[in-house]
Amino acid sequence: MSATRLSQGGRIDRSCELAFQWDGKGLSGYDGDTLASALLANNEWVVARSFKYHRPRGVMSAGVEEGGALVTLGSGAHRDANVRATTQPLFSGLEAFGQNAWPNVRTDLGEVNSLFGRFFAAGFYYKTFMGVPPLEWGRGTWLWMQYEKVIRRAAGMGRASREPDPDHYEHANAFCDVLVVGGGPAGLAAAQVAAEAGLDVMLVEQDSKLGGDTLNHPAAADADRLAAISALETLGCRVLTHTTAFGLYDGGVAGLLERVTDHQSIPSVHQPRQRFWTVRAKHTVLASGALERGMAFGNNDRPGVMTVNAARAYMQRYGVRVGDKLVLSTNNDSVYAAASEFAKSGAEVCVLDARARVEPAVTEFAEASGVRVEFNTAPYTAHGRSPVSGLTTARADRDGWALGDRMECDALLVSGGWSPVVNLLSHRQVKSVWDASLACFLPADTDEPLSLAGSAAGVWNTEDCVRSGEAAGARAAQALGRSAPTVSAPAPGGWATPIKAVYEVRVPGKSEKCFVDPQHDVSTEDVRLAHREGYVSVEHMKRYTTLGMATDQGKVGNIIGLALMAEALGREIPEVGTTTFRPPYTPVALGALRGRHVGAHFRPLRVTPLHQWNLDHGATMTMAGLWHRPWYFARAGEGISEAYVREATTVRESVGLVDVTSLGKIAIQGPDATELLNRVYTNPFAKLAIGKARYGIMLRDDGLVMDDGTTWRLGEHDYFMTTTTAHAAKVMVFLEELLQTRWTDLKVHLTSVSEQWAGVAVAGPCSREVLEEALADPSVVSNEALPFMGVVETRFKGDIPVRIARISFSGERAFEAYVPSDYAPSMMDLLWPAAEARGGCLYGLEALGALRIEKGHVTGAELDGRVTIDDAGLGKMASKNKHFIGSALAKRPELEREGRAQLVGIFPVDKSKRFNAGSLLTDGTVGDGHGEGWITGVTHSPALGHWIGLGFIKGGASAWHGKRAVATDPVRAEDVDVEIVSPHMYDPNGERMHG
Amino acid sequence: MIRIHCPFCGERDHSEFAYGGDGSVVYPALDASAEAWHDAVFLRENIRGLQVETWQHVNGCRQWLRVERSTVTHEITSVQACHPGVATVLESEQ
Amino acid sequence: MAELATRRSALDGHVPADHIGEPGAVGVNLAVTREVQLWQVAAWPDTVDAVAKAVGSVTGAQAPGPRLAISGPNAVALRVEPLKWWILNAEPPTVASEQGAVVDLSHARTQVTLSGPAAADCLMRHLPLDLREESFPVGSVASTAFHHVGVTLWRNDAGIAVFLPRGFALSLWQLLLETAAQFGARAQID
Repeated sequence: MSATRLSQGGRIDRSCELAFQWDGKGLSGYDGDTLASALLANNEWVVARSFKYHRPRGVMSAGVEEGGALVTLGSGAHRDANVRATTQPLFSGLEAFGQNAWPNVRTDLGEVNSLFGRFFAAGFYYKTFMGVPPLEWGRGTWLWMQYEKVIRRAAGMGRASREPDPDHYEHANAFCDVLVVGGGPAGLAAAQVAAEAGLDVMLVEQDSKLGGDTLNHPAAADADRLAAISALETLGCRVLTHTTAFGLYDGGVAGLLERVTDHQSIPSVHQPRQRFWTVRAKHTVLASGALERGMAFGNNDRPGVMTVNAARAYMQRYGVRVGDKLVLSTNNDSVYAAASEFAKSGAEVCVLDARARVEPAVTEFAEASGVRVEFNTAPYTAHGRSPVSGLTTARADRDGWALGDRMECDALLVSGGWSPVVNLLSHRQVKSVWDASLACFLPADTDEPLSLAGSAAGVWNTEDCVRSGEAAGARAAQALGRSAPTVSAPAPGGWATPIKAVYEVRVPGKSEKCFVDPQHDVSTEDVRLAHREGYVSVEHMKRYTTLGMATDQGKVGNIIGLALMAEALGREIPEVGTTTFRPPYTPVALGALRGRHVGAHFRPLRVTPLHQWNLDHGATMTMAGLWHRPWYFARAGEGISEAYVREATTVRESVGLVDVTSLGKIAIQGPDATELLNRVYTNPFAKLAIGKARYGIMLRDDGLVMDDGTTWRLGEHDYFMTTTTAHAAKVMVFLEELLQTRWTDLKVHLTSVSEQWAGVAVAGPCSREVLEEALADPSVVSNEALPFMGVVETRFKGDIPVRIARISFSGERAFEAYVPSDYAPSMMDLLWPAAEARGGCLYGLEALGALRIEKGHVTGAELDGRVTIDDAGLGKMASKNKHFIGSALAKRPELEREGRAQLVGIFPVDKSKRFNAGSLLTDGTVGDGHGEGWITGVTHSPALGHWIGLGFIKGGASAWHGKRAVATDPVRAEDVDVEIVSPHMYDPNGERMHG
Repeated sequence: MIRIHCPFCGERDHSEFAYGGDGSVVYPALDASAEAWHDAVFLRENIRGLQVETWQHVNGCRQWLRVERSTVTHEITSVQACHPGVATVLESEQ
Repeated sequence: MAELATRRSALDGHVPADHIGEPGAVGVNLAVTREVQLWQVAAWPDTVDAVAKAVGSVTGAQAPGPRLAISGPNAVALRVEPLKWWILNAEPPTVASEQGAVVDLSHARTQVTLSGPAAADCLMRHLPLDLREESFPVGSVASTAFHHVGVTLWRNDAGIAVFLPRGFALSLWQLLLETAAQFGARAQID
């Protein structure tokens, strides 16, 4: 038995020899080979072991439908499992390995499983290991969970690398008038007609070459193919090869996967490995071809059994004849051209045709080439292991089959009919229609801008496919308002003799292992077992047997499975229905779906205009939402704990500077700006004077707190609102919604100016002096000129415009200063020397948190969408004299109930102890449940000298006076007894910030 | 993927938009009763078929749009700016 | 500090001087505008015509309609929203609050202009936007999402100008450079 690399013919470059590794063995092939054709040329027949039974498997097809030759490519982090050898272009240095086998695919100890084949039928493991008496008595899955780990290891396919994917991927977007899926004769014709009508056409082909099935025809007949390709080039049609349209979605959107470098020996580091395209097309032509099916007969999974068209591809495209003595088994006319070509190349060829007679015109040509044809014959079982050495035939006997003769062969080629690739149509929820005369599903009509062409529409002959493509291209052009010659589409079919539906060759009283889905080791018996056990829906049968659930998604096995199920149910195939194909058509790497959005680009990163300045001055950064913010500025020998305590202490003693650019900032302009603010804030804004700022709370419609912040009045109709960092986008969107959908009579414009203004808070007793030193006119920040909550627009030295408000988040005398972003480093270069000279510091988020917790100021951690304004201790900010957003629903009884959790401060009873944010607060007796409250933030208070926290507890501080409370953190730490106090833990009367 | 025809920007991917909510709700006045507010905020139909909803073209022209969409097919039958003044401006300029 | 403070672009110090990516031809040129001058002028629904006139008085041309930019002898205006224009490289007109509102966004956007044969392809690696010449000719304006961030584009004679929100500019710029490498690229700032 041997496959032969022919001395001539095919579309390979024999002058370009490529060395590659197969399971550690050095082999060679030619440029233009696939891994499968190169393995066959080297007579490597066993290339995989099957999923459950570890049966030897070889190449079964020459395309994406491959269920046998799945291999692992590459090693280490680059390891890629379950690659179809039949579609992987060969390149120099390619490294491939057999999978699911030990020690290797040729000698696999796991094959012992196949001796116990009858135990491994569908559902075997579940029945055996679930609810085992006397342990679980019919219920329970504990035992199953234990066995599953072992079973999963024995059954399976390749293993993914555990290392991070070292390749990079990218997304791409495209728009076109017509997307043509498939570069066979129909696709090429459709693209040409559409492009000639002046449309922008994209054509995608999963293969490395255009031509579709004509690539499997003798190379002498190439003129048409080359002419069609060059016509597209001239017309400027965009052509993507190595690209699969894997899904069709709403709105004419298609998902494509372009394998950019998977076929390259040493790819450029600048190119992505794969590219995930999202294409929006006004019209889509599916010229996705058809797949040849096999038949179910004994040992139909043996290496050496493959489809007829695959063997034709290996000879005509790759110059590899898979055997010297070939038996072709068919139920249709499509094999005779190939049979004749095999014979002419010197092979001994016998066609077993299941039909009683065939139009002589079909067979004469082949017989003239020396092909022997036997009618009424089909394979009953294959013999030999790897590869096949012969078969026993079956003879048609009334409605069934009887045992026939034994014959020798070194490859058994099968054609059980053709299935149009209607998968992409199925993605659009268009059910296909069973055509009994052609024994296949044909695409149904659809209202969508979709056309089918060629063998995807059930048109079998090349000339008809071209015409079908032209018709589809013309239809697309006309649908898009272009003139194109009307071409009548040929009807489906095209064989001289009708196909005879043969799905399984079964001889009464005999039983062989016949595979329906080789990739998942699903046999004909499994399907019948599913029926016996009561599964009547094809969807349930699929899930019970796992037929069609492997990586090939049932491309060849589904129809045989359906036919068997129909037979078992005594129904016709259309009554049984079909399962729905879902994207992707072929597997898509997760990396491709992520594109470039990995690592540092997982999320868009937001930095302040002071980012570099902060880093240059020793900042350690942290993420706050999308923002990168200074966390602390450690000095020599300091960790985070020492640094933030020093920073917070310095702010209380002299002065500190902190980057507050991340606060949301909105310009609110227009004659009705005041009215808008007065409606959205709970507190009065109608009489805020120009040059003043006010702290405000906003509720949601449902009465719970949305956000807080300060709003500055810059002019009669001109306000500057600040929001919390976390809620900036949400507040902007909500205000836009109010103005555009509810209060459309208000003349107010909102503009996000978060990016326009860079902010710094200058906080501490020396803050005014620091500002004075930086300002062109220091007098504008005197206590008289700028009292607490005053606002001034002025200039720093160097003519930098600045707006300053006297606001305090730290509880110290403090100012917030905002300059146009590009001036931010210059501002800091003025402020920082002045602060440094006064023993000041730069501080980060951690010290900011410490200072605000001491003061009991709330942030996003407290305003978590569950608290009312009263819960947050800000009830006095809710005006009784006006209506505002949320005021109606804030009065719901549940929200006004006594005893709701209230904002409180928390001290440890033993001042040396600490407790954690996220702890529950209990009365010390609760063992489970939600406790009495929770802790939202903790810090070591420099001012008080011990750990403190903020949180919520039922009834608030007054209810817990003199009672035991415990901070309980069962996961991280022991319980700590705490004292519940007022949230205003430091300087409760605010004397420091008014000074 | 849903493609939405924004009356200002033209047809765009839904990824540029943010779903708002039920576009048929008329929010009551601020001084309306809690019951009226309750109904507006909490009561929603679960429609099979054509539904009026709001979307904001948040990564586009930032307009709030009133969209009629079939919950069965995702088909969108009309899109217009929620703000009547803006809708008028766009009509006069198209 | 007597001298005037200087502006610092978000991309200052992040513009490589050397050829980027695939050697040989330059597929994409990325030019950062160091100092952007950008004012937003907004109208009320019933004052669009009046504000359009005010915008036109600054640019010296008609104010552009939806999705368009019109360059005049003095400046260029972009129509970015139904009621909003952006004016580039000029001082804004005076608009009373009864007519509309004016706000400075000069520091809020970082302008990067992509040119070269692969400029549109490079951008469409990220933007779900039809940048084909016939769909987006010179004078077109569009806003879209770039890795979830809202950006505004304007095709002019120099290429496709992209206005990136300043805080995201560095992150998006790095994505653009990484993407441009496959085409061969050069970057500059001025």
